[in-house]
Amino acid sequence: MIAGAHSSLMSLSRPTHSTLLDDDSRVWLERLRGDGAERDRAHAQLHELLVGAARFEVRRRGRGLRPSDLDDLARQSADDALMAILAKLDEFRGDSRFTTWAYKFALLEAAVAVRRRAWQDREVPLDSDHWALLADRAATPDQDAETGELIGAIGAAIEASLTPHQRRILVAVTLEDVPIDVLAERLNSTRGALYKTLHDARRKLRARLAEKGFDL
Amino acid sequence: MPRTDHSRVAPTSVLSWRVRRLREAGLRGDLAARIAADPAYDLHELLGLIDRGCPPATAVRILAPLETPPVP
Repeated sequence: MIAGAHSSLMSLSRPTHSTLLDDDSRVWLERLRGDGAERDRAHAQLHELLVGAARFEVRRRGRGLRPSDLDDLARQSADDALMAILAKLDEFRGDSRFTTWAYKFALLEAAVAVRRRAWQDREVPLDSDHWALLADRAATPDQDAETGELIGAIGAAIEASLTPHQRRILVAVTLEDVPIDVLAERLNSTRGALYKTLHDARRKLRARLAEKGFDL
Repeated sequence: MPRTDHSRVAPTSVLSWRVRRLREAGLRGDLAARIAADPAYDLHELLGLIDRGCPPATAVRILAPLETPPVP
């Protein structure tokens, strides 16, 4: 009796959407959650699908890269996508087919991999005084006075309100167009940590500009 | 099959970039080289601590992985 109630509670507490899943998705989940040789076969089969998706995305985004690099990036992306999928298997809600959901991981990882490769041999600027680029942009003759004044105020706020490291991150991402995942990799950090720094920096800048009478 | 992160070693250009950033933040050369090559250190957190006034050597000690001995 108690065991039955416990079992019912357990099934309620774990979100299952098996009634919503299409047959193909349900089979994928069962095989990936299984054990032994069948699970290994499912992993290998999913990996091959992910390689195909990643190869498509890498070729689309990585024009100019060598064919051997493209294949290497596609396989790395598929590896990372498979790891991410297996870690998030319980988050699959059945809103789409399982393979559609899985492909998105491969496409995301492929996009990140191509960006990283594109920046691999490029200097990633991280200089706190590069905020002056903003002032240079403000000086272009085709901008009206109001815009120039605002950009000048942003430059001044960057210098006055942000710490040097906040300045470096903000400038690298927003002015130098360094992709955030490239910067995260260089700094051995996470995108989340960099996003938080950017969020804090923007909040400080907004407050500073409001103090100066700018309506944002 | 999937590779682990351990198979990915930062290229020399990335290591020298990290060393430069750490030297600029005030770390000694040998310490900067060691931290730059150690994947257990989050350089963003480290530079953020130094940014807020923490002495570089202390910041390194704060962020040292628990399983390794602290920096002298």
